[in-house]
Amino acid sequence: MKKVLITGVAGFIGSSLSDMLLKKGKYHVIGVDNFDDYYDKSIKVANLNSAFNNTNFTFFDNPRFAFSR
Amino acid sequence: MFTSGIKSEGIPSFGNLKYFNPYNLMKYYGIKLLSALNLYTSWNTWNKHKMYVLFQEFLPHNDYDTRITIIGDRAYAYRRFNRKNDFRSSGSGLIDYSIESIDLDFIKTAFHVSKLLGFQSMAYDFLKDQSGNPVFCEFSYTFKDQILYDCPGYWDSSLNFIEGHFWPQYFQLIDLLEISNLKQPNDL
Repeated sequence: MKKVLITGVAGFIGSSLSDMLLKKGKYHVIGVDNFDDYYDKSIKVANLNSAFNNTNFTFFDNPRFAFSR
Repeated sequence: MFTSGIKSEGIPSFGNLKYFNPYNLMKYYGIKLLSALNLYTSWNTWNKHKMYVLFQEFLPHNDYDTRITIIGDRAYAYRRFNRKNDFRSSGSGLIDYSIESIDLDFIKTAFHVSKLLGFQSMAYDFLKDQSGNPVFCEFSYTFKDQILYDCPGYWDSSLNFIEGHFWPQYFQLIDLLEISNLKQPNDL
């Protein structure tokens, strides 16, 4: 299974790309997002709802990988 | 001018250096210094963009330009009036979104160029020459999303107007990911 790293994964573009790749079932998506306050964090969290339910998705909330799921 | 250097014969010895060229020597040590400071890449990139000047013909009597942004088979359009006491409209913030003010020939031309050159997303700034013919002032592949969202809609490639507010990223993603039922976000 190919691994794909998506930065800014919680935004509209990143989350849409992540969902599409996960739907294909051929990719493990590693998503990174620092949840900056450009817009409401709750929207970004909601963007990742379906990805969080996929076992092929790993999330880090900052580039130093301080937190992993 | 002296790219191959000057022969060292007749000038003070520089050890094993076959050629002495002050420019090359300064460049060599300059690059070493910039590399040590992690600045070489940015300096080198900047360096590639110097030593040229772009002139454009001044076209009088254009109080505004018309910006057409083509994303796939959709065209956003609005007019930008010039800054006060200036011939430039870019950045003036004086935007007219009224669709009846848009010259549809601009849209047709922009669609044609995007198709011809294979652009997925491109903005075109149009002016008119002395005879009233459309003239491109500038192409831009980056643009401010909020201004496009504030447009009252877009034209399709058959020049039908579709009303609504649409984020350009939404259309770009539909085309790129080929997801026709992608839901547009309320905010970005």
